[in-house]
Amino acid sequence: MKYTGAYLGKILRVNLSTKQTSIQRLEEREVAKLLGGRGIAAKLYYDEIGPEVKPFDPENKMIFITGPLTGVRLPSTTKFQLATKGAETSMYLCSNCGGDFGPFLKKSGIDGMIIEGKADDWTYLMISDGEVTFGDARPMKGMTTRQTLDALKEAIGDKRAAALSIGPAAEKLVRISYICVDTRAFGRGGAGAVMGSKKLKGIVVKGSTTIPVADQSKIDEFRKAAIKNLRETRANHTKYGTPQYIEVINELGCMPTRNFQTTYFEGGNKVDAHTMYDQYLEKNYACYMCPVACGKVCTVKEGPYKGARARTEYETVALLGPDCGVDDFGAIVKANEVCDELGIDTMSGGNAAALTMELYEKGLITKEDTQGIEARFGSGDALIGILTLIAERRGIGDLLAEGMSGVLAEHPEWSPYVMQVKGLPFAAYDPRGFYGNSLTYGTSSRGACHNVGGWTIRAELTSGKYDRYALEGKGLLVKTIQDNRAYVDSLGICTVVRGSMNFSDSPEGGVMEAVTGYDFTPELLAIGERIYTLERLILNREGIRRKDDMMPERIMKEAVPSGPIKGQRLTPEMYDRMLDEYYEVRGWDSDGVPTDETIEKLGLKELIA
Amino acid sequence: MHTARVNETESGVCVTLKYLASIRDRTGCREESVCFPEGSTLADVLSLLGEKYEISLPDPQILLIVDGRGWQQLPVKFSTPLQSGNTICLLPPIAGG
Repeated sequence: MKYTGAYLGKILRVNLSTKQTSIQRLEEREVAKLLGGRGIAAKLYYDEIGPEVKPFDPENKMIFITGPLTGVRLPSTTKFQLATKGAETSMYLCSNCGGDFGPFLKKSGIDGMIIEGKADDWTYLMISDGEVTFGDARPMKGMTTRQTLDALKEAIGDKRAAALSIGPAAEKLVRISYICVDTRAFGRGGAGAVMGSKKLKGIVVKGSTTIPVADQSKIDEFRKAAIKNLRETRANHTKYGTPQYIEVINELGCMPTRNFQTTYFEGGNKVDAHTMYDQYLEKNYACYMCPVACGKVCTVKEGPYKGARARTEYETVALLGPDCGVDDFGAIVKANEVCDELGIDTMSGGNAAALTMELYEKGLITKEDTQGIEARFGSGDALIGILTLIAERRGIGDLLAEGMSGVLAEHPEWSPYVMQVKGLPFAAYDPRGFYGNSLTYGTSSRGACHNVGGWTIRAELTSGKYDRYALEGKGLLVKTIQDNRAYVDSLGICTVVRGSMNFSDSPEGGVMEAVTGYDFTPELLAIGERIYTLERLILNREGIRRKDDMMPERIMKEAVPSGPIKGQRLTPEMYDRMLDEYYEVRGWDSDGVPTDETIEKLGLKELIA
Repeated sequence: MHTARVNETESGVCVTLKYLASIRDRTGCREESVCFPEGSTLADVLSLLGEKYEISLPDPQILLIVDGRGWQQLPVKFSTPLQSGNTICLLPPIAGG
């Protein structure tokens, strides 16, 4: 490799059907164009997972790739990427995760791994300095995610090893199940169920490889400066974590409330970050090398949910709380714990519970469907009961376990109440409050995701360039944020710290050269654009077109009925204008397909040949 | 109501100031209603915040939102005249959750 640091040049391939492993090269020409992480994972997906492959086919693969910064001694170099055909959406899924696993994978001597095939019976993988052992996971069947992590670490004989696992929900192929990665998660899109379909219960990894870098002394300087910057700019994040946004998003009038029926939750102050901090916070936790430590472990100290313990984040609190009408933070922690341990994504779980409550209140389902649960908005017990039904595939839970696409296939008449794009339920922002956010959900590479799709709210509030309700300019805004995120996801660092190392939409500084020996910096945003377009080509190959980039009925037809943005609406004509602009700035045709000129301009032609 | 710059019986414009998330740690209250003389502008709110809480704006660590829009979006920025019923929020920098 021409790069003198960061990359190890090796990808591990593990076939669960044959129990054989091999090492393949990480191609230098692909690194030059796609950087690592999300970019390389997308390219491998393009090459190896065709449109005919279904999520639970043995031919589906799980492609885990680190980035050049993963594991390097800089703040929060924690991230690694997963590409697979998602169980929840039955299309390309990209997922990004923190914790220790990514850095430890690299310390094991590999840049990533491709898991393929399907085991005969429940299996776990133990990776130690790149050597793979296939373990018998039959005794782990039925274990929660946390119990499995403990069992895996016991198996490898090192409590400090990193591990990932699935819970009972994924064993039952619940399509909204997640992969637990120590304290973090591959949450959205149903990667847990894909792992379950392969009868792979978990992976544990440790290693002693020193990750090479081009210039350690410069890296030390960058680290000190970044830590100083983060202590000054992220103190609020350290204290309150992402739950600090509950109060903010509610006040701005885009809080999903009772299944997005309205956008302001009257009980917001009962579930905000101050309530969390004063009454429920047990301790902070940090991802690998992160000085911010924004993670929050919360415990319920009294009341009906006493003893519940979970790691709360904004999206989780918003979707299990206000979106289900629940204003009891203790109930939210308990629901979070149920999701975490049984193995359900809290965001899809929250959306599914909110949908159930609306259907129940409208008389479209009954207690027979809910197995006796009085599924009304505001009930913590109902929320926890519905999540358990899903994880155990009982009653209405068996249908909800098929994800929103499965629900719509069975009950198309419920479409007015199903908040999703491409089968992925909404994140916790109502796009009628920030029009750019609708384009975010519509054009995200994995469905209605605020991260991959490009989180616009701050720019729409404070950039001075765009009003939140303006249409013009939102296409370029969303594209720029998406491209920024695509390259950051490929670097292997957390988005929370990217500013401290100048990885913005105008990247600058010398971190990349100090780590890799090559100055990627001027090319980073273009690399992000290349990755995003490659992902669109994959989606096009899987049948995705303009028709799939649309908002659900509620957003297009209903004005917000109450709260700070009462009366606000977004019509199909308004959305179409923004989408047209977006396609134009992306160089995609009017049906959302990248043109030949765009493919040529971005240097994708040879990559997809 | 925690403070008033003019007697509430006098004519004036009364606005609601809301201190969200970590900003509340600096002000000690969630919100307050404040009245200003007729003709006051957003700059007068900034003066109050400086005097009372030692909050100096503009500050990249504090976002100031007037009726749901950032001050940067307002045509005349801090010269924007106050209107009775304005809700002015101060919040920390935000990013996706």
